[in-house]
Amino acid sequence: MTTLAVDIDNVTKTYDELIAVQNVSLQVPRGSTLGLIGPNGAGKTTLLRIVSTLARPDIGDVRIEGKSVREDPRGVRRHLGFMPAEFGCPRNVTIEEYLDYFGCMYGLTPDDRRQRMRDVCELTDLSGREHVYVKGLSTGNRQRLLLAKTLLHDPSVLILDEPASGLDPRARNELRAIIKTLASLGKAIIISSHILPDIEDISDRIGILEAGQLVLQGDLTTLRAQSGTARRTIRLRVTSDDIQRAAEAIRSLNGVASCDIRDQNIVITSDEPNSNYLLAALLEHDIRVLQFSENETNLEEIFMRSTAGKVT
Amino acid sequence: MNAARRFFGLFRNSPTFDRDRANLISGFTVGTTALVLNTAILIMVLPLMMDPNDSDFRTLTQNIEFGQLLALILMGGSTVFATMLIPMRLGTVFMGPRIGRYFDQIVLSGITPLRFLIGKVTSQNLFLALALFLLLPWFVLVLALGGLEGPVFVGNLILVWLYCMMLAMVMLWLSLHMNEILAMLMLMFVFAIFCGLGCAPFPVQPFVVTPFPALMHSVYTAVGATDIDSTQTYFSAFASCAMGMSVITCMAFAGIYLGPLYGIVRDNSTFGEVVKPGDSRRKRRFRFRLHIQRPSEIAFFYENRGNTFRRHEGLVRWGTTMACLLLPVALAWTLFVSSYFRMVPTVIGNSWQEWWAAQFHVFCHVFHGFALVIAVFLFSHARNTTYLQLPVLFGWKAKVAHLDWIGFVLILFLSTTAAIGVPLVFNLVVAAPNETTVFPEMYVHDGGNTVDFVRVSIEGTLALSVAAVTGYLLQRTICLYTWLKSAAILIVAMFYVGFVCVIPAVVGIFSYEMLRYPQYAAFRDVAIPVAAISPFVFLMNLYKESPQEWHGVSKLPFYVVHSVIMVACVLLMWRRSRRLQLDYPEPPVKEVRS
Repeated sequence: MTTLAVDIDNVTKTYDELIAVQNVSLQVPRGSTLGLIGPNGAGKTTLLRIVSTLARPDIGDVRIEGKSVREDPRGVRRHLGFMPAEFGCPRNVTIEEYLDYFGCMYGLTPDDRRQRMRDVCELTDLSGREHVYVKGLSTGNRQRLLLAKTLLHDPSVLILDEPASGLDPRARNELRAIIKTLASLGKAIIISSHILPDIEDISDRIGILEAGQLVLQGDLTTLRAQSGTARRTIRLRVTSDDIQRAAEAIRSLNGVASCDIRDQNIVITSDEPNSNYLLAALLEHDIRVLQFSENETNLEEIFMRSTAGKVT
Repeated sequence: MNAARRFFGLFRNSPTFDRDRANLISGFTVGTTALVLNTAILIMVLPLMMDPNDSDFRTLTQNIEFGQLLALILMGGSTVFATMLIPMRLGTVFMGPRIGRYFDQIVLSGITPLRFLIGKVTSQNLFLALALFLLLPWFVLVLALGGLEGPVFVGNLILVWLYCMMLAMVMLWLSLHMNEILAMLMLMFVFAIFCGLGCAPFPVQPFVVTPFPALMHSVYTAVGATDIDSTQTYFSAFASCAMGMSVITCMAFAGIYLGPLYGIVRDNSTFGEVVKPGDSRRKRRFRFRLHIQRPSEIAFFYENRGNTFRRHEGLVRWGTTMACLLLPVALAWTLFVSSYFRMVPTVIGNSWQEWWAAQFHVFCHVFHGFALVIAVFLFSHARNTTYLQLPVLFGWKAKVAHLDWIGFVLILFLSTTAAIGVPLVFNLVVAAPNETTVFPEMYVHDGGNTVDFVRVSIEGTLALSVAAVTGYLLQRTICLYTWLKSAAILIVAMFYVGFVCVIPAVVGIFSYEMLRYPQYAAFRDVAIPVAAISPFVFLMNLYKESPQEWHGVSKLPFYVVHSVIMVACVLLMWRRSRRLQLDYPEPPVKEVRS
């Protein structure tokens, strides 16, 4: 039995003559999170709508828990929780009424509805606010409510479209914690966002879309390698007497791409994933290390380097 | 117990139950409902109170206890109130929640259209409960005044409830096919007329789609109205009303279950949103077209239908349509033949035997004509669905246009066979053994002409079939230019009935009048062939019901004009279909994963 919860297979979608998504293939195993990033108009929302059965692919197919979005969209929907970017809901209802309404839609019995509402309110920290009107909720709490609604029928796959947009740092932090908890509960999550540190933090795998095409995909290390940003920058500080000796010793090592002296610091770029060999070499030459710092390329740099700002 | 639980579950598990309950228990709703309801009651009482010395009113009050009369007014007022309010309340079913991505969320919940809409219908019970609650003081007054018959009161209450359910169901059904405001106005108008007609003292009340025939029954019985069937009891009036409303409710239920054809999403479409270059531009224009601005939302709902149904969609739809047409037609034929069968012993040797035979053929032609007119309407679809491909059986697909052709041709064949075959078989099996016939040798008319009933039967039926095929081709052609099938049938009716049936016949009548004046003889030579175009004149000539001078007129103009219309329609359809079929491109080839 496959452990893949979501299998996007060579999907293409066009509108008029515009290619919104082209030959995209992605997989999301259970219990993992896939982050989707890309410039505006890259095709993220279209891809999410295809995955969530709200749009049909022209070519290719998506399988959710083994069910095809083309052949069995209804079966797919049972496994799917979709949190849209926009909060569309009549505003003159309370949180309880809103959740009960969707509980009925999902076909839950009254007892199940009560239990699930309690559970999701607890998970999203909405407990005690069930009688608050939706129109009185802050943006953060509305996002919580949308997430609560998405989780109501206990879906195994979650599609979150810009879940953190408009949230303050604290609310974002809490949302990240909730998403991590959900992933640890075995749910497969696809999340699209422009907030790259969040994606970097919560995603096991990341896909970068541009002009409808998947530019890069994989975990962060793979992305760094694919984007040519795997090289790390190491900054060393030694005593001024030792600085020339240290630079020469480092230059002679394999795996060092460059070694320069800048402002009494030695700046090294290295292809090796582990920097201990540098320290070992310095110790061997009896050079005293005053400061050592190592920088990895973050997602934003990878994104900037791998995309050219093209839109479809 | 389980059945009761399931029944109450319909309310409790209705997605809109809690919202409706919350909305109902508000000062505004209660106050407005009370005001409108009591105004409706007062409007019904007012005409009685305006002139207490009116003889009808006095007859009424002398024969019926005032408590009973007031109870009837309360029920009538509630019915009128429901006629106005329920369509209005349901007028926002689809318009209401069109906020943000709300419809996406509803669709993804997996709810079926039937479950969603049934929730809307059952929630009307709360509204009815509110209305009855507000009428409690009146009911107390009714009880205090006395004269109320318990079973009749309960029966009327049940009928009002059935009426509310029927209205809600029909409103939702109509909402699927047209803009809610149009549907609301149409429903209010039609049922207001039905309510009025239901009050009329017909010998046999055909308008049993409102509670009024049953409500009025006790009034007419008490005052001894001579127009109505005196043998009819309240129970039979109740049963016929309950049956009539239940049939309409079931039809609406089936209609909602099947859904409109445009609820089927095309293979290469995003719920009808963008399917080909230029659609975005066209969509902006659609905003002004009330009847087509909402298909994508309906499509969302109908995406959640079961796979088995969707794989046999064509069979279910066209099968249901065929059954809905054939069953009543077969029933009508059966009732007609059985009533004629019973009449045979009384006809033998009677002077009105020829008249009896003529009526037999008239009935055959009427049944044939009605069946074909309904078939023309049922087996045609507007331009937005004509070339849609549907799975018919086990996923095998066929175009709507082809299914329509098959349906119509089948009905045409069956109805023509029945209209020609029934008189022949009846004559052979029933009439001849009893020494009578439905093809009498001679039927003497004023002019001394003979009527050939074999010709009447065969030629008359074929002429009706030709007229129906012409009408069908016209309808299919106009459908390719219109977004609404009902608009197409109106245009066809105006054109065909006006220009082919009525105007030539009127020209013929004028010419007949002018025959008296010799100076207009030339006009007669032109006018009579023009009149012969009309199928009315054609049938009148066959039955020898037309002026004697017309009897020898050639039938060629009828066939020529109908053939010309048919050829013109086929050419227009061919030309138009080439352009329209571009809207229905083949679905993209699905790539199979290796």
